[in-house]
Amino acid sequence: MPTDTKRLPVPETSICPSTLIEDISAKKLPLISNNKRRDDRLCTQLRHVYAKLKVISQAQGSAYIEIGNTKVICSVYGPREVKKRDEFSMDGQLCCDFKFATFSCPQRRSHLSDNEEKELSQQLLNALSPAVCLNKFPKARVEIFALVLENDGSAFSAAINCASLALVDASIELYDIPVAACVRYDGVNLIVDPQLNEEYSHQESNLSEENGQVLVAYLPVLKQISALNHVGCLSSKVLNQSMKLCIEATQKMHTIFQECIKEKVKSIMD
Amino acid sequence: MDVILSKSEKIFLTHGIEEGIREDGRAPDDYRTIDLELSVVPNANGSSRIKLGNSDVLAGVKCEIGEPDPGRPNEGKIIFNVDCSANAGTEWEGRGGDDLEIEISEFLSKAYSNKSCLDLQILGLIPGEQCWHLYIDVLILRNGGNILDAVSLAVKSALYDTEIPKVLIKMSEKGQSEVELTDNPSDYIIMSTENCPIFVSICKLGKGHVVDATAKESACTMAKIVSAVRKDGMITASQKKCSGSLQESSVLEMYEHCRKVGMELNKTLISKLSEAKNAPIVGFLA
Repeated sequence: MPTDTKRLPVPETSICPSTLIEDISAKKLPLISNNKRRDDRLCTQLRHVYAKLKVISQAQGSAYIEIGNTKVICSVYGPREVKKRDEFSMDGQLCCDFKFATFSCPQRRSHLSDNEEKELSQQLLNALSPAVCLNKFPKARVEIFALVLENDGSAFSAAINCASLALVDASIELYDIPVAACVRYDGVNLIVDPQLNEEYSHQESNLSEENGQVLVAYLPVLKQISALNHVGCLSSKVLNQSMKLCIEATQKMHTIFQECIKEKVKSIMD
Repeated sequence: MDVILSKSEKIFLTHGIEEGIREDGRAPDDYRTIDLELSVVPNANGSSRIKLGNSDVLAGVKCEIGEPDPGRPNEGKIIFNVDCSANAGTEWEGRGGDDLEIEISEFLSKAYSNKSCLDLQILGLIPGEQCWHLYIDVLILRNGGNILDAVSLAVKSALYDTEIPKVLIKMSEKGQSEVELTDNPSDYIIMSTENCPIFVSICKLGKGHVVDATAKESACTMAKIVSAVRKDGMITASQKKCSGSLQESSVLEMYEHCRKVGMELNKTLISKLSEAKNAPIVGFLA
């Protein structure tokens, strides 16, 4: 792996001290007690959402989103001409880049994209491309950059939401606005929009047999699923239930985003 | 290899599948014949070669002693690596296969990250100091469609074939523990691969869906769902791939299909593995 020597790297062998603490007290608490979650939310309650369009002036379109403490910024450049002849195609092309800022997670991320980020970039592309009218910009390419500034759980679904808002802001023609949501299953309860200490991680020791997390990106008007991703051991019955919950959550989010877009349009008209 | 099909060829294939007819005469939930061979690489601790129709995959497992993760001192590690050989097609030359490599290896580690799949405690040696690192390297020799499923079959078979040398842990004079290999080369441990998942990719073409798509069928696929299915029907990871979108009802249908086919395929693989264990090694000249 080539490293950039111009930057100040941390020593290769350093580790984050929090990994050495075996029982982080928050992790030991049950996900649900007295029908309330660790942050006093109900099972199907979303965190507060704040979204803003046009936050980066030089980009064609951009958006910023906060879901609880999870913060993501996304910019869209293009459509731009494809330079290389071998990349020519009659449909437009999308290019996605998903990145965690180095300071966004409890453990430091490297400034070069790791495999997880590269894979999530591909998933972001798969989630957005069913919604974009690619035939409207032949021989051209749209570039989408999503950056997670703070990861407090459900960061990837926030990135999908942020990217679709940025596409709207860039006036790229869309069939529908992809909206994403996460659901976590801990063996007993299904909880919507997990925060970082509620997210599924295979490292936790006191897991029951059936456990996992599902992400769905949904096109609410077309009623189609554009991305689906799950980790952890789940039966097909629980998968069905969590998919339904995800879709319900995306519909709530969708109304919020519609308001946000309406406001933006109003401000342009005035 | 990427197949280039004309529009009418695609329509022909899709219409056939909507009526339950495939180009090679299989039923929608039939797999192609699986050829399996174990212990093909003498230098690896375990290896397998799978031919699924035209797809050809070679997997090898190497064991090395290293340090455990600080968060999990009692457990060993498994590391997946996928290599798309440029022999299989010029589009994989240089960095061409990178995206596919990352996609497959990330999905493998996701599917195996669940504790129930492999018992990583067996791989621990000295808590916090030393453990086994299992390097699972997959080489894709030929892509005849449905490469993901073939890779998962190869990985499970290679793990089944893996013999990890037994080691003794002794205390040295200074009070430190030391790892020592036993003298007997036939002394080894075998991991239980019973709960290892295998992948089932189900492709949506028009209104129908098929498993184990050939290269031509993959070229017509709008959306596909890949799930890692354990032998008891539990799904340890799943993902939608390709650029199309799916209706909720068809996703549910496809999951149910995946589960059924996956359980069946697990059974087939287990019976094939016990057959292959005692079969003579033919190698590449076969």
